[in-house]
Amino acid sequence: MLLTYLINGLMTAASLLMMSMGMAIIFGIMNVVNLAHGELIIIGAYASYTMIEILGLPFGAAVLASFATTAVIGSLIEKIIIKKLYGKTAETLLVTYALSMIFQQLLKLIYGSGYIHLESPITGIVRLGKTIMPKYYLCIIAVAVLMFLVTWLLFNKTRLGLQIRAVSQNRAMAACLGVNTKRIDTLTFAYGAGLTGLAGCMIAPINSISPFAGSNYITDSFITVVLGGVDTLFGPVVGALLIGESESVVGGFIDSVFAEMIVVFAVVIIVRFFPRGIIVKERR
Amino acid sequence: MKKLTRREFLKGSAAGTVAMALSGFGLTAAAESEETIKVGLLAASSGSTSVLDGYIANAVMMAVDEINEAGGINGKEIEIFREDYASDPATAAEKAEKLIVNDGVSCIVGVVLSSCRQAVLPVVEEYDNLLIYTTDYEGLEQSDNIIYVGCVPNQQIQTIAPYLTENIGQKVYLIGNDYLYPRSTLAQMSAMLEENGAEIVGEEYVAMDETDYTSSITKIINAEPDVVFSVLVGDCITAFQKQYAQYGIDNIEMFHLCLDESGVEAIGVNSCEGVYSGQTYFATVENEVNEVFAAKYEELYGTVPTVYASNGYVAANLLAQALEGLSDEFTTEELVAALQGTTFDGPAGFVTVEENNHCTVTPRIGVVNSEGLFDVIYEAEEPVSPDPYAGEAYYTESES
Repeated sequence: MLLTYLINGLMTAASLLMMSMGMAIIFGIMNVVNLAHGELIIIGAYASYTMIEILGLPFGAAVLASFATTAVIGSLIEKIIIKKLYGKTAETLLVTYALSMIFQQLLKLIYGSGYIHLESPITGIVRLGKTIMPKYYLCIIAVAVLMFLVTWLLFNKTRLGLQIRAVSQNRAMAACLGVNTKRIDTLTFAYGAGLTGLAGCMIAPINSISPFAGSNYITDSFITVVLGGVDTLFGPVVGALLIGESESVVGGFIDSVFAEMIVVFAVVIIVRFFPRGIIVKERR
Repeated sequence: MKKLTRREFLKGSAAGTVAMALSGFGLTAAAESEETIKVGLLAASSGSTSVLDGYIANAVMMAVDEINEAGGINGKEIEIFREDYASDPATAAEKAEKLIVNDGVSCIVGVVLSSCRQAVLPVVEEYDNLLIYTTDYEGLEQSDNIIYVGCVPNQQIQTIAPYLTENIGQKVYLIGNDYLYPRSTLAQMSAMLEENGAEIVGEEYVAMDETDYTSSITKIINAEPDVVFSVLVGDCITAFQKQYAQYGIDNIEMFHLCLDESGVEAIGVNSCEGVYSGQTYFATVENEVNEVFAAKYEELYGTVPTVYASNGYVAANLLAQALEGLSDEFTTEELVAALQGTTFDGPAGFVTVEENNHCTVTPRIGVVNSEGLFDVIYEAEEPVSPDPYAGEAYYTESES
């Protein structure tokens, strides 16, 4: 029984990780609180819907399109608005909140206010003793792991990643050494937004998607990121695993509303004693 | 002759402008009130319930157009004043006040969530106006300033519980969202099921913003019920059912009390064929009125009507019938008195406003077919009376 819930927790954690990875980058590396995060997820879902249901393309095309669409939107937001607002938390909050409402209304204008429906590309289940695992959830776990690996490699093993880290640690020095910090900012933001859109594409077949559904996802992402910490990419992984597993196990044995309460309460306690999240990197 | 100073001139002209404006306002108000009967429509175009509000608004407009085309009410047309309350209780209260004070409507139709109705309630009571509420809700309320056209839990439960135990399964798992409507409904349902010899093998409530149902689904599988009876609502039915379908479970029946045609469309027919629903109206209900109504609605709005549309249509027609018996000038009290006892033979069968301001309606059970519509497999022989406080005893019992 416990094993079943632990496996369930893994599935929950994978969706959480997928949804919060982009936020970990935009919030953690760029220090921008993006209140339009939920809408980026939804835009990713709609991009995937456009590819599959309207244009009749395969799921692979939807994955690419959802990443590309939100990445382009992300880079535009950064270039036009966010770039003027680094370090101004209140203004950023206001602007990204406004953006979230603009995105909602734009989606409504283009696609109508109703729900959209997407079939999942893979159906069927895998049985492990008494535990049932839908294949699509295994697919989500795989994509989440892949997203994490690619991001980790990008940040730690490439020249671009080195520049991104340099800019986030000491902007002035990085600029002195010839790094085009503005270009790096735009690319980082676009990558974070792209990952968020990709998450939207992946969760669309198993969730309710409408122009106004974004608010359902932003809180979970924030809690995951804040709990795990944003100093390293392992923060959101730990955050997602802790939340996913405890929601699943407590929810399984007791009650899911109670599980949510416990998780949020635990987050408050943990953040009180580890204000930078669980995974902390020493800084000068 | 005294010379007019600049200050006096300004004072005089300002007073004149105000007087002109006032008289103009008075004149138009009087003139309009003679020409039309003003009705407010509170329907959200954004926010969580905007899809449902859309069905209500469409059907009300359709009914009002029909009424006006047929000559109106005693020669007067109904004029609709529509306001968007963005699915938000505070905005709903604000817009209700605007409709009553600025537009001078004689009643308001609309709002979906109970929280929004409860926000509008003090406003209609303060101005002694009337809200015609068209959504099924949990009961436990009765106001002289609200007519409740939707059904309350007792009407569905006292017919669904016996049907379910007899025809679908004896071991029942209950699941619902964690707020008053599902809790009140499931408390009544659970008592009624046990009276009918069913066994409750599990009961769970999930938060409204839940997007991950994997642990709930695992619990259901482990409890091995014959049937799951769900009072999940809105987005939650969609997310739950999509995820439930991923598990490919075929030995447990699924009954979503609140699933309607728009929900089936959002879930996708592949993921919910064979699922039961307990709405009072389905687009496929067979009677002469519905044949015309459903076809016309689909032609006008490009989608099949749901219970929200049917309730909106019924509300507008009940109102029109009540207004016909009233003189030009009427009070809210007179309008409510006229509504009580009014019967409309609508798309969902006969609907009558009772003295407790709630309506008798016909409960039904439908099963999703391969076209994404419902096959109506059960229909109560007689409309069932509303008992808005039936849940009170169960609810307090289950709490204590």
